[in-house]
Amino acid sequence: MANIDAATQGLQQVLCFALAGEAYALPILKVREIQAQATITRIPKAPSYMPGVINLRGAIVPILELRDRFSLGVPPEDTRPVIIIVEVQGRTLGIRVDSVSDVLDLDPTAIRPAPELGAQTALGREFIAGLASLPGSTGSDTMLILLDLDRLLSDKELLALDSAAMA
Amino acid sequence: MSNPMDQFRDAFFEEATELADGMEATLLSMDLTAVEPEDLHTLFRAAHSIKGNAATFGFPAVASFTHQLESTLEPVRQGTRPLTDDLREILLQGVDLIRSHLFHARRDEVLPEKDQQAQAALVIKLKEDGSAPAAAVVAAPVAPMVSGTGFSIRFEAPRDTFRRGINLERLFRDLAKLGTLHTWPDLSGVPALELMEPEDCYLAWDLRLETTRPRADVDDVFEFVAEGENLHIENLPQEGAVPQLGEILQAEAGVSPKDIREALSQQKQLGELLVDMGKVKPEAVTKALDQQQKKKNQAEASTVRVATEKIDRLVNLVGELVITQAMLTQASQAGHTMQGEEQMSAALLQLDRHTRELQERVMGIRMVPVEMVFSRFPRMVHELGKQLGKDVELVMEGQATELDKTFIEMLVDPLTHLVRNAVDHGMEERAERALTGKPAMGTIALKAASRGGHIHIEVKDDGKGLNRDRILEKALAKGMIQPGARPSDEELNLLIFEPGFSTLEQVSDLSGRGVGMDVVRQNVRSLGGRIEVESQPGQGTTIRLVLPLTLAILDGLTVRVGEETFVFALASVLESFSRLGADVQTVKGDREVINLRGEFIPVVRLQKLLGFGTSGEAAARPLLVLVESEGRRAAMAVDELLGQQQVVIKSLETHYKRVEGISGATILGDGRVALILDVQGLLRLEAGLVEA
Repeated sequence: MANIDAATQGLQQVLCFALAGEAYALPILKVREIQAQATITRIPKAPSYMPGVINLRGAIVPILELRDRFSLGVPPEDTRPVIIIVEVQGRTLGIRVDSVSDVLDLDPTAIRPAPELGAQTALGREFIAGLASLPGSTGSDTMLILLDLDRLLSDKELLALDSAAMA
Repeated sequence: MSNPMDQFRDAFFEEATELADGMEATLLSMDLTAVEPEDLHTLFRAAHSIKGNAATFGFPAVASFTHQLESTLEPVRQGTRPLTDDLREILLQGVDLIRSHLFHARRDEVLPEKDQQAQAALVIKLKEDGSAPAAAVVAAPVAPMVSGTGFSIRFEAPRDTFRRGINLERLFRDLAKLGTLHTWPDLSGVPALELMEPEDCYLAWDLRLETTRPRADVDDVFEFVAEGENLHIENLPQEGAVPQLGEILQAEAGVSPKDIREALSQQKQLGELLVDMGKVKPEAVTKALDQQQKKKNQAEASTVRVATEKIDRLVNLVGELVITQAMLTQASQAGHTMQGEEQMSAALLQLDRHTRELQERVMGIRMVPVEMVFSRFPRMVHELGKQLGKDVELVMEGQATELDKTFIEMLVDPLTHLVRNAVDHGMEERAERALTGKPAMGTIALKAASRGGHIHIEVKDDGKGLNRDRILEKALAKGMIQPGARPSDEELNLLIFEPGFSTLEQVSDLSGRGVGMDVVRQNVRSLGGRIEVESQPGQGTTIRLVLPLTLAILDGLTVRVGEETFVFALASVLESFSRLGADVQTVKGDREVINLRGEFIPVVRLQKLLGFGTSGEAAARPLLVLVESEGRRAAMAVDELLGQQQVVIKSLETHYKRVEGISGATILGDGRVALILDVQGLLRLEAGLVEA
């Protein structure tokens, strides 16, 4: 968990968002902007979690449907999904989530490596950089799941970039 | 982290190449029986400038060779040595060598063996019939700046550099004043952001200072800045732009020269090593190397020189846009009054005009004169004529016509091919020309013109023209046309661009006219253009390339299929018609074909082909769009034709990846993204040639 070690230097700012009732977070430095719903144009032969592209001020940017990626099912009718635009490894990508809540300063020492989640969730341990607990307003602690964006995006299935581009 | 010097280096190479091109053009255009003194001065000046700049920028090999050319030109300019045909050939070869020098120097490579030999031979020729003065030429010293004296410096800025208030920029400037300075910044000491102390300096540099000044001057510059551990100054080895690894090891690690030589003799290229390990096939390595070279070439070609005038116009336009914006703000504040509305519509009209002009002008930046391709042909035709014993004159027209830069690069091969063919096969032998009463001097005309949103480039010869009967015979034999078919002249002529048309057996009077012609067509098509052929027996052949103005914009046909909007390149669309009147037949239960004037053409269901699921596919789409690519046709079933418009092409690959059957995307008026269909790819998908 080298990335956690490196992060132990100071507070880490993260952007929190919700997905199927759970709280997730991304390092704020990777986030470029947040977009309200945009029309998605479907792309042929794309996996279901990569349904299409949007127009981000003239750039054609693919959208990652995070619910689909983590097999969390269809969002309830009343959710108004939001797109978090991130920049990773020189590429821009939109991540569609249920809602965005706030920006937090996390004490890296409070981040613990993820336990083995086993069969309980489709979200593999490999995409989790760690877990942090937040003191909830009701007194009970909320668990915050920190995503490892680089790994999420370097996932072979997701981009399959090179093999497809060669064909 | 680009070295500021690199910027000038690039400019030097561009300028020197232009000068060399200029020398070639001048040499070729000179009438040897009546040499214009001004031409000689031009040649001399060009050689002199290349030499001077090369010396300044630290390319001694280029400078010294150009110096010899210059010295040869000197007596010619003085009128003491005649400019003979032979000397012209020698000078032309000299220009080639300068180009080769520049090409390799730009890559920090040494001149290849082959060229070195050519240069040695040429230098002898240069002085051979140049009588006495030339003998001195070889020994003539090169400008002092270029000799390999100087220092190689390793400078690790002390941590407290900034705190001590030292201005590093100043230091480099002082160093540069001493001679020619090359810098290689070393950022390896910079820690991760969170570990970094903002007031500390973590930088280091490897410097190479070419100078004739003594060491003490260099020490002076570094005084109070660095010493001991942080500063290593070595004398430069003679010659060579970058120290070899061996030299460094020798200097720093005390490896003996003998050991280095031995190690070098065993050293293998990465590719070879991998092949030896059985990890990769030799062919794959060759392919990878090719790719690498291509990338290198692309990287170099990625700068455009833009006329200041064009930029000034852009600046003015932006100024006007700002004014328009102010007008709009004012108008919106005026609200819904008569006057406000009027102001608003006037401002909107102006905005419309300005944005359109801005778009055109910005596109214009990518445009370069077609002369950049044309300029190589006088030389080529000159050489070809010599080789083949034909008297050929090249006439060029419209060199100032502007083309997208990408086109220029992709047009070089096709045009070279067409011109070579015209001289080689289009033009008759001397005897035959005399027999038919044509002037002995054949003419090849190379024309470029801009016509109605397209660029036309013509290669025209006054040779014998295409032999219609032979083409027909050949096409029948190869099954390219059906017996009994009566193709038009136009259709028939285009057959010479079919792959394999004349590669199998050479027909005497057509010979070669098809070799590689399919490549010409392929390149032109990939640029979104088309080819037209006109030929009159005995009068000559004209081959016209019709190209779009730019690659970034496409003439498109927008269609709706279910909920999706797609764009077809108009160039690939033949016609569209209603399904109702068409003769649609079902084959094998679910596949459909239409019988169009006796030809059976498959009907393509786009949604199914693109894997969008088949919901809604049951309903037959009411319209068919007939498309063609690579000689294959298909009818695409669509719901609605939305219109014909120019669309701006955006890449899908920038942030996503290439998708089979899709050539890019564009943004519609309402801000949505629409995919541009790649007809060629779709037809391959349909034919099952590609695994999707």
